[in-house]
Amino acid sequence: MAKSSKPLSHPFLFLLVLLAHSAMMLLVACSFGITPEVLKMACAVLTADFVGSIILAIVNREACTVDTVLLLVIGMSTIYQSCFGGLSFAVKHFVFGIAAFVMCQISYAVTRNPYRAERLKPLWYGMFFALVAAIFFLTGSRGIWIDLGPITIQPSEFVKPVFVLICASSVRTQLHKSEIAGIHFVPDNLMLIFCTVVIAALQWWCRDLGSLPTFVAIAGCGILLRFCYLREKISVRLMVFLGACAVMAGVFAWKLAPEYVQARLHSDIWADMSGSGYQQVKALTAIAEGGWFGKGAGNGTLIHVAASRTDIVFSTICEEWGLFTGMMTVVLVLFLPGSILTVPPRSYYHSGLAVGVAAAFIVQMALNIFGSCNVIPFTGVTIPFISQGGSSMLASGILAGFLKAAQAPVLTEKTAPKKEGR
Amino acid sequence: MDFTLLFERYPFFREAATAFVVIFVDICALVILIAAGRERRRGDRRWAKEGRGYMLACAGEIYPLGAAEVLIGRHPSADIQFPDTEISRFHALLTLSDGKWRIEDIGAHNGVLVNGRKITKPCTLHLNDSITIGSRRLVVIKGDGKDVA
Repeated sequence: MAKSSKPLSHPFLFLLVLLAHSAMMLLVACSFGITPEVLKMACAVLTADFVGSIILAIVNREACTVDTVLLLVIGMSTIYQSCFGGLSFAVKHFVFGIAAFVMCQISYAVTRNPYRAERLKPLWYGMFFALVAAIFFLTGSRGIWIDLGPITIQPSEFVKPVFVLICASSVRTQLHKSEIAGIHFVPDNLMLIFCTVVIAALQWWCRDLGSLPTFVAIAGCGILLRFCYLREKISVRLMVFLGACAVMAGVFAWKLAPEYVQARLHSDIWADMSGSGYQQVKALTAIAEGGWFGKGAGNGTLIHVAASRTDIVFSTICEEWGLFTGMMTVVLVLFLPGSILTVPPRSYYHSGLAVGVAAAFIVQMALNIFGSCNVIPFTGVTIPFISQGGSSMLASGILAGFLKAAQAPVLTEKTAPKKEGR
Repeated sequence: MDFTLLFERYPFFREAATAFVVIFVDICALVILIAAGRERRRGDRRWAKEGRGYMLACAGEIYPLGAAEVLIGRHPSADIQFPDTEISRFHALLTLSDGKWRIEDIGAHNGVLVNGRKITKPCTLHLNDSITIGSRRLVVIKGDGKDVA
């Protein structure tokens, strides 16, 4: 008989988070002195760690690695954002970080039962089309923001978790086939393809092409999982066909891309350092100037460049805290989707959720970091939990909740008991 | 002692302090990642408890039930695959819910027999139940939880 599970590591893990944040705060205090801003930030971050760990220890002890990493990353990003270019406690970022943590717990509670989450699919479709309608009608002239006065909302960020919920599927759903005019099809797959086309067309229409690769990656993973269940010997013919389709779609997208995208694809940033290549040149220079251990918190100059807290945040971190810290931050965020490798999902629906979240996080991070480093054209997407932005933060929190659900599932069906077949 | 002045006068101290903090935070992160391994063992134990440690045995082979949905059939994507022609591509589906394993016929030509009786609706499995699929006879056995994939 296996030993009973005693989650002794739970308080120890949160102690590590507290120590890591305390060390960072100590460095900030040494750099800026013990000012009211430093005290405010220290109180906020350390209290959040403490309260968060106590609440989680009482409420649930499942999948605590995701919670631990999430608390660590949110605290770190609050410290980074507060120190960029001088000390000013990033209250808004901190509040959204806490809200993302809460959203993670809510989405975990909603999706931890894969049977129930899949039964709610009509609701996810409804939310998807409501968000699509919001983008189409409320964002103004081909824009991506809804202006509500004191705050602005980017609905396309909230489409991501809903789209992940749509992309996931179970074996039972895949076995349910319909027939129209002699053609057999799985209704769920048809809906996925339809939703993919709708969101791709909408992103194209509102010129938010930076987010398009993320949606394509989520849909691609969803479609791939439907063709190849986890243990299938992958069909070479199928892979060649899907690869050819992807290449064709890429060529078409390249040829039909708007003029400003074409210009970015072919631009040489070093030839136009003060024009179209300004942000990337500054971002690359900042990484180089930062070196391994950075210029010191608050000593960066990249803060004066547009989008330094969002689209080129990796460079801003590298400049002030060093490449070492920048890479560590990336590893920590990547660990969130990577955690499904340590605790594999036990249902196909949860596998679909986990793969969708991994696709979203990895593609977003790759676009942001490689865009800042001029490896690929600059797209302007955020790094989950690190970049400033409430919509992105909340959506990332919801996605992290799916990962937690995949690691600690509840397999109950609260429906009328079926009659036995014998 | 005013560290702000010290950092301004001697950049070496600032670099050393930053390096120390970065390495310390790295070590914390590394320990958290290592702790994830513990989470896996806990997850395996939880699954063994939830799935009752049930497995299927057939002609000396053991098939662990490692997911809440286990597909049996001839198709390469089946979790338990038999290449026999009398077995349909997708023959039977085992599902786990409320701590019970159920088996159902998912449109197989030759049907599914549990303890010699053909099933027409999902049927709950118990220890030592015999499942007949084509010419294969699978028996529900209990493992120690270590073999769960």
